[in-house]
Amino acid sequence: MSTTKTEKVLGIDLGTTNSAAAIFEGGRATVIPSAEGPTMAGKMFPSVVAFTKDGQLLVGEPAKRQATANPEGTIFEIKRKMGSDYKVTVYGKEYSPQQISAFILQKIKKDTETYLGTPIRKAVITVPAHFNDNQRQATKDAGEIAGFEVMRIINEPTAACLAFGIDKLEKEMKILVFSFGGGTHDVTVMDFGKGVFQVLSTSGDTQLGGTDVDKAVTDYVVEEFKRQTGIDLGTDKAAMPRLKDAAEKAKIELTTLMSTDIDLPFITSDNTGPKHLHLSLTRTKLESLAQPIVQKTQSTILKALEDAKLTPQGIDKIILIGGMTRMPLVQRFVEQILGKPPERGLDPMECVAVGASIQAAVITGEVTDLLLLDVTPLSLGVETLGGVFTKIIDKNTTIPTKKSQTFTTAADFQTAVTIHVLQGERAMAGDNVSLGMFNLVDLPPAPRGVPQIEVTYDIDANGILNVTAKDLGTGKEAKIRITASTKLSKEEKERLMKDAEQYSEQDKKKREEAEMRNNADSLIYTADKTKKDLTGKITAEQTSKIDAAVAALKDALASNDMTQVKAKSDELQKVLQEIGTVVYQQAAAEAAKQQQQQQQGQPGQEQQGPPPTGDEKVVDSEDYKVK
Amino acid sequence: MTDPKKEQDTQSSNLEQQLEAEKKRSEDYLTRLKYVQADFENLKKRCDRQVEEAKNYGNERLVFNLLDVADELELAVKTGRADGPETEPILAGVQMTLKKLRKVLEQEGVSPIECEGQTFDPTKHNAVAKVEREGVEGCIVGEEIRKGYTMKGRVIRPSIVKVEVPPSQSPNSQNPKEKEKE
Repeated sequence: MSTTKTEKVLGIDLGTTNSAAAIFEGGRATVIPSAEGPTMAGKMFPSVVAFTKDGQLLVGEPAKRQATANPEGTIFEIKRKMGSDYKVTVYGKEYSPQQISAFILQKIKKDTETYLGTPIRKAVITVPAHFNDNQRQATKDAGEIAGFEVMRIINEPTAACLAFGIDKLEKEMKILVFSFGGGTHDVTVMDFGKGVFQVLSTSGDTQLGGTDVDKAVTDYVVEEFKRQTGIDLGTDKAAMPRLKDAAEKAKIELTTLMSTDIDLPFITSDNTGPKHLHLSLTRTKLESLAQPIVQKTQSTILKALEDAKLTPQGIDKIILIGGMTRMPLVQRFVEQILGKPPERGLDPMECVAVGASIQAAVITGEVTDLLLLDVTPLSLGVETLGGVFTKIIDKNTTIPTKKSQTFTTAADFQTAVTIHVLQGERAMAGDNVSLGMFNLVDLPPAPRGVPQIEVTYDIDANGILNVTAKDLGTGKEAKIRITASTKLSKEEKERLMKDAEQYSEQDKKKREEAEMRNNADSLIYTADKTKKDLTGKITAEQTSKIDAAVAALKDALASNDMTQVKAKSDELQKVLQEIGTVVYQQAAAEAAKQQQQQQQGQPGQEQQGPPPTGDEKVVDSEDYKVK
Repeated sequence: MTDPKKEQDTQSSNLEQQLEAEKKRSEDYLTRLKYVQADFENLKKRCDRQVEEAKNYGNERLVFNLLDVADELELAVKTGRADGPETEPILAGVQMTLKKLRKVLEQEGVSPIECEGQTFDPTKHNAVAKVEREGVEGCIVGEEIRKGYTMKGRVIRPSIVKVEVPPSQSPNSQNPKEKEKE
């Protein structure tokens, strides 16, 4: 594939009545808002294209608004013609369905680029499951005419499944996707297994949707008003837009409320004066109005099941898409037929676009990206006066990150502070997990509250935490490095200790060898120096004796025979001591002192620090853990 | 028998391969880094825009819902009849309330869209009816059915209008929607 992994791909839901697009970034999908701003349909916009008489092209909301004024120049629902030889003739010019769809896609491209501030070239477009090869190819062509490189065409129900994360469930299942939008309705039964979605059946009603319900509500309100006042609002062009808006609003409100009021003061007037429309609408009433429309979906569901040779019990998951499925009645209806509740949690109008953007992200590799940034699972902070836990980095902060905070002393003439690094969410330090502790010392004596100590927490991309404390007055600093900011578990700790023990003998031997070599090198150096310093003061015989001992030691080193190295070192030392006379005692003494220091110094460290043999191993193991 | 030279060669070619792989990887990382950096810059710009947007249009929903109230008060003033000393002050009071509401809206950057007699503009007007009339040129807004509003230059509710067009002379022009129903 020619695409670089980092180029963004847009997910597009190219719908019959409405369209939407989404982009996956930073681990989640963002729905692109239409340039005209949000409408009743949310971030979606109408899939309407229009040409005005003066040759202007309009797409979306403005195209829909002028449809009445310019019906011959307005094209609705072109998606129904995709893949056919149908041609639209507008003002003497012919357009294919691909070209018209391309205008819609072009608008999406432009809106996305405005929103993101970067060009976008690639897209994944969804199509209904029942689309044949011709229709799919036509959709792909439309995308290319619009200037997109179409990475993939995927089924709308598959996209919805991706949005709901069905593909992450590691088992085979049968899924029923129930789509009920503004103007169309369809049902798709799919089989999911081994990461592949397969369409088993699909059926639908292309002329059934939410607009039918709106019309039923509006008609009801008109009837009621007529009953109350004898006035027919159906012919009142000034009243109808207000009434339609109010009916749609009431329908939406009744998704969450049990009853709502439709209040339209001064809706009309007759010779007795102004008339107001006041009507209480309950959810029960709305449902009784919608019932006949919703009822029609039953046959679609049953037909899809029959074609898939499944019973309602055979369906494992139900997914709802389209605005109408927000209606509690619809959810209940589907649940009753299939005997189980549908999946919840996503906006049913946006989930196809969201799913397409997830597919797009899979193609770009964003979803499985190695560089997906991690977050700190718990807050990190420091213990302050009175055992209080002061947070420096909050939990769920994306790493790498670096934060500083300035603290001061708690007592007069305090010359040292202890930085206790902790992790957790509790208020008191003692309740959280201690990660480490260190001191910043030698602070100049000052009254409490005067010194400024800057504490910096720095977590790198691997989750390694570096804590630095710096006295801003003197510039003195101290630090600690915590390799795994998730504390080791008991088992892990035990394992590390065991490892350390197991390798301790081997590591000790290596260390002794290294020391012996260092000692030998230093002896050879001393011998050379002695020779030079005492030139003319020692006999040729003595010089050759030194040379012989040095040569023997060098041979021993080269042979890697540590017993020999030890023997020859001793020999050389003896020779050097013999040569040492009173006059040269000083030099000899110095050499001896040097050797003594070397021999004593290292075991000394061994006692102070952590067991040296374990040291190296622990680092290894922790590295392993970090990975 | 191992040929030390051969072994050395394989070793060095292995190292070369490793070096190539590492080079490629570091290049890949650098590209990603650049993209991430660019994404970040763009995101910052977008955030700034969105903050600006939220500042300017954060109360759009509230204002939008208040437009209904303005409509209704206007209707009250238009259709209300004052025919006596009792009703006159009430009507005057409603008029004052409307005036105040208009001022509040104006302070939020809301202004009504002028439309009657102007050329129909679908970015601002929503046509719900059409009449043919002699002497009209192009497509003209004949009547305002419901007032439209802009807020800080953006259309928050288009005017609902009746448009007037010249009598049709092109019987050939097709309505795609009608054709579809064939």
